[in-house]
Amino acid sequence: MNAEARSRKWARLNHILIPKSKAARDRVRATRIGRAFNLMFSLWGSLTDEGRTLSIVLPLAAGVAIDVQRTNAYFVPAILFGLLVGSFFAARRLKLDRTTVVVNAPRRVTIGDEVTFSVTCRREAGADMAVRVRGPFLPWDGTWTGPPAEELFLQGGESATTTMRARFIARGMHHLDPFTAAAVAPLGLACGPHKESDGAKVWVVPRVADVARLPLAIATKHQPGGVALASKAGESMDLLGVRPYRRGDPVRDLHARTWARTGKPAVREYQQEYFTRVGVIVDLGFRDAERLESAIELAAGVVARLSRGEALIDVLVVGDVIHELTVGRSLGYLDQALELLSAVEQGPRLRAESLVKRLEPHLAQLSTVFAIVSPEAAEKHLLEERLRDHGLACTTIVVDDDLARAIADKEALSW
Amino acid sequence: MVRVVLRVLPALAALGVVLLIALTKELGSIPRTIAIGCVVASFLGAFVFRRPDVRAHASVVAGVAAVMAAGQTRGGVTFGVAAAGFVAASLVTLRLARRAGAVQLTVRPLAVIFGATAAALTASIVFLPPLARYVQGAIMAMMNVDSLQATAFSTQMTLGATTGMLQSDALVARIERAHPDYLRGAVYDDYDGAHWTTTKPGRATKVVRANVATTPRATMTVVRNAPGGVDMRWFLPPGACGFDRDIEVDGFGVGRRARREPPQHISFALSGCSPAPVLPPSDTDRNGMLAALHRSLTPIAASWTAGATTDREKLKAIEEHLSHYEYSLAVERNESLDPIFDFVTVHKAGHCEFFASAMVLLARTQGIPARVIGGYRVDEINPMTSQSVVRERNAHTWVEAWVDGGWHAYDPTPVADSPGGFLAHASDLWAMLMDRLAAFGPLGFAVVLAGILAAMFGLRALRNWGRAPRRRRAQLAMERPLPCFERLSAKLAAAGFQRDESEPIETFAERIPVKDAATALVAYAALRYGGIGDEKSVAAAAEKAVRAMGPRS
Repeated sequence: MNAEARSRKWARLNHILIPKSKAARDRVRATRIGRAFNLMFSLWGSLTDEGRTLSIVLPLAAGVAIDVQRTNAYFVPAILFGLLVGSFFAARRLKLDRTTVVVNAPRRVTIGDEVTFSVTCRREAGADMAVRVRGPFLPWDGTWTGPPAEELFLQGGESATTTMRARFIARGMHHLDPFTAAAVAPLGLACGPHKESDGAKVWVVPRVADVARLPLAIATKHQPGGVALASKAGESMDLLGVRPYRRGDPVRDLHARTWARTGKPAVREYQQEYFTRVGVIVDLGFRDAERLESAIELAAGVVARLSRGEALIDVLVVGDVIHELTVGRSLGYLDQALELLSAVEQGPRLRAESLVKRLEPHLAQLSTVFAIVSPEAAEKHLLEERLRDHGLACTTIVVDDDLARAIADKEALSW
Repeated sequence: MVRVVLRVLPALAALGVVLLIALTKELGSIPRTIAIGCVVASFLGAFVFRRPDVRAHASVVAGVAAVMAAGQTRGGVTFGVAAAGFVAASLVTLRLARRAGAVQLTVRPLAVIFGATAAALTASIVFLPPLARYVQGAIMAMMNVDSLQATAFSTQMTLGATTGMLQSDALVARIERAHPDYLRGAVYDDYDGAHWTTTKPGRATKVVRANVATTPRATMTVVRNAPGGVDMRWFLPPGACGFDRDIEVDGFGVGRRARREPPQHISFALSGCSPAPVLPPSDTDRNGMLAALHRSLTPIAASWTAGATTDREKLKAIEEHLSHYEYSLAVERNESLDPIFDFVTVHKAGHCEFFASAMVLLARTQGIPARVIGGYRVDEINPMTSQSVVRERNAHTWVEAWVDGGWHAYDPTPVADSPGGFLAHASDLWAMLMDRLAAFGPLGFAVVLAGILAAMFGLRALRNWGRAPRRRRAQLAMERPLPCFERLSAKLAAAGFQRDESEPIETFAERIPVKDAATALVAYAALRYGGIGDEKSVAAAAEKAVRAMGPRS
């Protein structure tokens, strides 16, 4: 188990009692226990980081200063207690009226990469205030990185922005609790009543393996009438080349640059639309969750590689679910595939017969299929046979130890 | 420089508090050691972490620990003011570490904060000590404990009073250049059935003048005053003389001192001079016990000393008998019996007070004057310092009996040696070094501070060692143009094609009519800024261009 897997395991264990989704967390907060906890933590929540540190130090110092008859050490906890209580009550009056908090975050972030949240506070009117922004309690896989958000100084009618950074180590859609902003009491030990932003949503998508080369079938298939997303349906627009002008050629096909260079008129020549349409199958029947992560990274790499070339990804099969896409040649979006891959979890073993049967409506269009399977998949050869029976080329990629290591080492992969 | 000072402000403030207290008040070696350690940690905390807020928090927390350790004495107003200054310094550093903007000095919130602080401080000063006394009294009443039992080594000794001390490792004293067996500090001659008391004749004191002519001399450092009592005393080896100061010695030969006199050093000799004379036995030394107890113990003593003819033999016989009794701190007693009679006849287990008391009372029944001596048994030598070390658990009572015209010590208690471990010895060594340093006054602490700073900067230098220079070298390598480019540029300049300071190389190449030179320049730019091509071929192209331009320039 590598370090990342270990940290993922411990992080999950650490949050075992905390619901994963925001909706579930909101439900818990609405219960009696949740309300009781909210009340208990309201004092803690109203302290700044500095106040929290001193509030932890306070009981320890009080314990050391227990011998109040023979020592004067109790002066220190008394001063700290006074400062904290005074700050708490002083901060109660510092309300952020007519202030809005807006969070901007990228829609997607790669797993393990830092995502930056930009928090903007706008104060329509009112006295100047020092404002501290605090991020939400992150789900189990998230940690705040970098220094805490800079304290803002908000003047009436102005806005100020600060940034916070976080890192997530699990794929999927993360719906975060609201960010909060609150005025800071003098000396910076406590905050007043806070203002909340809307919850922020971030897709944490898998890493994209570096796939340098894939064996694409030479045989392309004619797509009568053009593909649905071609820019001009019904008219062939694939440029075959440039040839000398012949009488009768459409004038609009004249290629000015070639004419200028050669001194002889030349026209563009087009051909019917031919595409290599590809299906990608991702087997979810991995026993090892880390191996599944490698398979998903590889699938993302395959999709990314294909989307940069002439091929179109028509079908992405994840486990038992068939997703119809048209990715490639700038017609679709890699992000669309990444979002689909980000949500998958371990599933049942690959069943070749039923899968091919369900894929039949799509097989006529496809030229080739890439199947990313686990070493435990017993029916991988059967899948290849069935697909070949339908005239498709099938490349089966088994994610074994070596391949998983190569993916983890970010090696350039070729088949 | 200002940034560094602001970063270490809590550590500096904590150091100030520790120095102030250590130099002006009584501060035990353990709190002092902890305080200095925490100050060092505070300085280190201000540097070792990368994030400024973490650095500030770590430095403040360690600083609080240092100030709390320094507060383990009656610091009074001095400590209060210094602690408030430390807290203020900590708040400044914490705020700056958060890159906080303008500090809001709004009057009303500030008034609330300072008002609450003043109220908390006042309330703690007014209410906490009496409250603590009340709670302590309530707890002792609840546990049915007589507060007088805490007064070990005073003019009265309650049987069982040293039990707590016998389990404590706290350091009491260190002795250099001598390894005495006992330190004598209290003499008890009258027994009333529950307490031993020092009678009035023994309390009369006379002054023994300083006499430092005698050698060799030993030095005792008193680290911690013995607990409680109405008066204080020097715990000195029997026969100690030739003191380096005038001290008062009572009729029992115990050195007395003023209650507020701080722990300090005293040097003395163990031979070559005459110790202060000790009074001969009084009636109390012969008969200071209850008649009923005398009657009960007489036949026991007689049976134990049967066959012994001299006082010395009788004492040896009693000592021998008691040595078979069990040593125990968990003493069980039959409340209906005198504790000593119970010890001698029923439970036959107890600690040193019971052994010594039993021997004294048994000896008195045989007409031998005897009394109980309170003090410390010295059985530990620190191998790191070669000094005798005395701890609270070495608190002990033994017997002095009048034999052949003099007082002689007898110890019937079967106590095993209990040497300290490595950590205890290392701690003693550290405390001794701190003592030595403190003897230098502010200079010593300046040395410590200099050491801390040196360690800090050393650590920082160590952390950065090898990283920055590599980066710098790499940067320099990147910055310096290739020699072939410099030669080509010089050649072109000589030919009248001077490149403007801000002119891109590619643009410069476009206006060069010499094809080879232009090609070489473009190739160089591609290598330099795009990593395209290799240095060898670019150098070759540049050299070719230089050679091609040679005859014309």
